[in-house]
Amino acid sequence: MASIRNHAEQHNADIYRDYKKDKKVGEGAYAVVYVGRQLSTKKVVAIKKIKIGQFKDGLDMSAIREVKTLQELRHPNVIELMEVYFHKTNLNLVLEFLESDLEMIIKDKSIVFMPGDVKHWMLMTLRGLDHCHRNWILHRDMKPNNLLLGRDGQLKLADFGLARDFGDRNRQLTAQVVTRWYRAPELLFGAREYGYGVDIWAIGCIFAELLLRNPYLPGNTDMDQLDTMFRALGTPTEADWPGMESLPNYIKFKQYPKTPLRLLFTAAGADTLELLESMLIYDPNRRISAREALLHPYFFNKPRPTPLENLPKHVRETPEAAKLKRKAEALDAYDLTSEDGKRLARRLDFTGMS
Amino acid sequence: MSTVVENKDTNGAAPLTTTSGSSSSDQAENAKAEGQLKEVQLKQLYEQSTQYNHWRYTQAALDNLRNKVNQEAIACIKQNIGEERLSVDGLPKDLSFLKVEEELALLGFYERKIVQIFQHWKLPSHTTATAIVYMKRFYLENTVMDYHPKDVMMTCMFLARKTENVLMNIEDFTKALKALPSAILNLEFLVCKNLRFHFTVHHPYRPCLGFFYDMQAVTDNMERLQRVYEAALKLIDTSLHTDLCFLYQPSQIALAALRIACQDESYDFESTTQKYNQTLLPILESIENVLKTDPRCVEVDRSVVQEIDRRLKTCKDPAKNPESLM
Repeated sequence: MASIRNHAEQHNADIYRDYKKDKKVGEGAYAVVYVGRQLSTKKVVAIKKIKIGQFKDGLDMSAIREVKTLQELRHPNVIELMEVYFHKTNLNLVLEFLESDLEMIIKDKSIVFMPGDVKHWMLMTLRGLDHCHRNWILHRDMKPNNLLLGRDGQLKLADFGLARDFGDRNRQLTAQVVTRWYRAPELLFGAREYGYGVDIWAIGCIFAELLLRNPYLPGNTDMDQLDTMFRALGTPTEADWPGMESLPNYIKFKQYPKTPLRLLFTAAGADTLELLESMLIYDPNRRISAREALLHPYFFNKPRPTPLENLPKHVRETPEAAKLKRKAEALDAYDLTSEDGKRLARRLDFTGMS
Repeated sequence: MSTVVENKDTNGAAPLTTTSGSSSSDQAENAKAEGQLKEVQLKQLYEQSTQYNHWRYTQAALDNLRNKVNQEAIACIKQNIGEERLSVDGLPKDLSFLKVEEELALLGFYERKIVQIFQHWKLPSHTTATAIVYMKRFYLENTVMDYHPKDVMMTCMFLARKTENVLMNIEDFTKALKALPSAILNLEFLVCKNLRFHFTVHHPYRPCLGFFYDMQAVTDNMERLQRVYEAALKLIDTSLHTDLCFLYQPSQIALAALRIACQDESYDFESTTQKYNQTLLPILESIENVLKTDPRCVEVDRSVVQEIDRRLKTCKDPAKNPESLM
């Protein structure tokens, strides 16, 4: 039998051998996420295993979208796709490993947010998103759960399974994107042509959620989402949003009055509310862009963004993990190069990271 | 309807801004802001693309690579055929392996098949271009003697429909092409690996549109300019059958295509595009040279392709043939 002459096959096999999955940390409809290691560097990584075998059309669209966009995006605030390889009928994406996400931090009520914390998270989110938009890529699933946080405090945009390019005229896009609570009004009205505004609206909702520590517009159904939105921000008129009434799924709603944001966000400063408001403008053409948002006075006024190392961290330490950690400390005295020690060390290395 | 959009990035280095928004003044502003916030250094967008970083070659490097792949394959297939026919002395007499130029001629034939089929499906040019570039990239490190271009062509077409968001399910796709789903799906992983999982391909069409917008701002003959633009698009279609996509940036190819089209339409190009500089000129000239003289710009005669394909059947690797005893 001839040796493998195909260079790509050889490369794929080499990559496969260099990574080891250690522990399952999450399972979704189409993928399983593991924490693992690159053996040559000992670097901890996340490995997203996508089961292709189950798709009759081969490689599925979310895998394609994620790989296609992440390969082009290299930015401190976008998750890094380190390698891609096939094994059996699975596609494996090797991603940098980040331990928590913004949703966990928001829900962890033992943490008190300072205004500078929110400012730095918003800054990092907008930088990552601006990089996507500069590259003509829409994320289309912005939500706290997809904003990952590293041990060093860096925030990174993740989950690009719905991402795609935008900006070409006359190209129809699907309106079935973005998790409901963060979905922009034009999507709820079924717009097939849209742009960066859908990601900005979602960031506006995230911004509000960081200030409130609760989801800002939690609708139960798509219809209720619009109702919740209009109750909070007032029902838009054709004057507020030219073209609204000609959107495919436009429905006339009860005319709720517009209430000033400061009545709900009592603790927020004027610059904070001004930026928030400009992200939640109904007319997508007048909504602020990521670039403009980065230049907003909010980011230049005091307080300064909290330094990375001082940002709140979500510490997930179960009692079991704490116990293992103590064992690990005791083990330091042992010879970890022995077979037993190696096995134990491997087990200990990744506890408390799920 | 076409609108005039300001696009300041018309030099070769920044081809990707066309339709709206990010002009160079934006970038300057942003650089200032980023500076104040002590963070990310902004690089030219195109220089961050996988196309720029992984798929740029010189003509000499391309030639070497193709020769090497071709020679290695021949050596290996010779050995395998020999092993298969242990009882027979030597190799079959009619065995004649394909030369690199013959492989390229065959690929040119299948590239034009992609164009025909995608036109029939009324898919946009950039989708066609993506499928063609996928096939070109695949055959940089592979030979038609190992993987028949018809199967690879179909897989590249199927994949390009997904990556360019014009998905067609496998049943409809294979029905239209009278092929078996397994022929495509079995190769999909292999093609993806050979593409190094780089699915984004930048083509000259978009920068060409950007230049067209720029030229509209200063033209006094819109009708003729429209003809220039359409002729340039045709030249870009032709460029897909050459090595230009490995050698130059999409914006450079677009500009060169416009320059030729202007000459053909006797449209004054030089006075409307004062921005391109002396370093760009030799690049444009060498692209023009390829577009005017490369034999691959012209479709190969069918009988020539049939002859190559006939010989291909005799020199396939038995190790890759499931019906072989190996």
